[in-house]
Amino acid sequence: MKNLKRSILLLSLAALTCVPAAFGQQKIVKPRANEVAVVGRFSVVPMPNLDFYWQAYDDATPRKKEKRGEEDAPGWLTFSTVVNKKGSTRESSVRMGSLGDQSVALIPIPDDRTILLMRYEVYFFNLRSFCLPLPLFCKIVIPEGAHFVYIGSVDYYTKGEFLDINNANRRDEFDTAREYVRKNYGEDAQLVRVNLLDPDRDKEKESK
Amino acid sequence: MKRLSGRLACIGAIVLLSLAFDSCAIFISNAPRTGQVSKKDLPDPSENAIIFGTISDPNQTSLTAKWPIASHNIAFLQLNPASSPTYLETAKGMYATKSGVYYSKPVPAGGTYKLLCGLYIISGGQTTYYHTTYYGMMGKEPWDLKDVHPGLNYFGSWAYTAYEEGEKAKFIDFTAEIKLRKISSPNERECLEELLPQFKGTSWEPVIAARIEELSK
Repeated sequence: MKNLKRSILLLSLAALTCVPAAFGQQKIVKPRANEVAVVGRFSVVPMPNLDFYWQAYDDATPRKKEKRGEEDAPGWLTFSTVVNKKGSTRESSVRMGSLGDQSVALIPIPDDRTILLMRYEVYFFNLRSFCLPLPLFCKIVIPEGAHFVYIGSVDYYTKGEFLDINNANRRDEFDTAREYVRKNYGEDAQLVRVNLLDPDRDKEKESK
Repeated sequence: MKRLSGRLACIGAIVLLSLAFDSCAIFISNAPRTGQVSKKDLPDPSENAIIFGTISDPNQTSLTAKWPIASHNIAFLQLNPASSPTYLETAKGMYATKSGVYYSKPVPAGGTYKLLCGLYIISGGQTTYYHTTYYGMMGKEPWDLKDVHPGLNYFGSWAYTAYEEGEKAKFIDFTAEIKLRKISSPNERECLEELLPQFKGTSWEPVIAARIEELSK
C-alpha cells in the first residue's frame, strides 16, 4: 500500500513537470512532401494587457509551480478540409506560432488542395480559460508544387474591455515573411502568396 | 495518525494530477467546494462591490438542497486595466452556498467581470463526465457585469440545462445542448437571503438586509 501511494505521488509530480515542456516555443519542423506550411501573422490592436491579466491570475492563488512562459500568447489555427469523395469535412487544429509573431502552421494538403481557415485561437498563458478566438472563415487554394504559402498579416481591431472586434485588416508583409522562411527553412524554400477567398463564392475577400 | 497522513498524501496526489492538466482544477468530490468569505478586515460597501447570482448544475441536484447545487468550478476575470487585477475562482474569491448561490468577496468598485468558465457534471451509470464550458475573453455575455457599482451587483440566476425553463423536461441525452440558461428561481431576493448569514456582523449586513426589504415590496 505504501509503495502504491509513493508511486501515485511520483507519477503526478512527473506529469506536472512534463506539462510546461509540452507548451514551449514552437519548434521549426520542415513540411513533409504532402504538407504545406501556411505562413502568416495575426495581431490584435490594441494588444491586450497580459501583465494585468497574469497579475490577477497569479495573485488569486499561490501557483508556485506555474510560471509565465516565454511565449504567453500561443495560437492554434483551426481549419476544415474535405476528407472524402462524398464531401464530408473534418475540422482540425494545429499550433501556429504566437499572437503578433510571424507564424507557421503545417497542414497536410487535401486532395482538392483547398483549406478552409476557420479561426485563429489564442490561449493566453497556455490556459484554456484565457482563450481569444479570432475569426477567419476564408478559403485558400494551394498551388501545385507549393510548400510554403503566405496568407498575409491580419490585424483585428478591438474596442472596449470585452475585446469586441469592430474591424479587421489584411496587410502584405511578403518580404519579411520570405526572409523568415528562408532563414528558418533554408534558402531554397519558395514562398508564394495565396488569396483569402470567400468560402461561399469563388471571389476574393479583401477584408472582413 | 499514520492512516490519516497516508490518505492526505493520496488526495494531494490526485489534486496535483488534476492541476497539471487543466487551469480550472477539477476537485473529485460529490459536493462542490464552497469556501467561505473571511469576515476579517472585510472591505466596506461604500467603495467596494460584491457580485452575486446563481450558476447551478441541476444534474447534481442534492437531495437536501432547496435548489440545484452550484456549478463545481467557475472563474470570473476582471477586464478593466484601470481597476484592480482580480481573478475570482470557486472557493478562492468566489463562494457558493449549499443551494447553489455564488457570491464574491468584496472587490473594488468600477471593475468589469467576465465569466471565463463553468463546469457541469453528468453521471451516467458508472461513468461521470466533467464538462467545462469556456467562454473566452471576447464578447459580453448576459451574465457578465460591466462597471460594477459599490454595493451589491446581481449577475442573474443561471443553470446548465438542456432545455429552457417552461419547456417540457426532456430526458438528458448526450446530444442535447447543455448550456447556461436563465432560471427564475432562486431570484435576486432569494439569493440575497442565502447571502445574509454569511455576512452577519459585518458592514455588509445592513446593505443586504435593506436590499431584501426593497425587493420584498
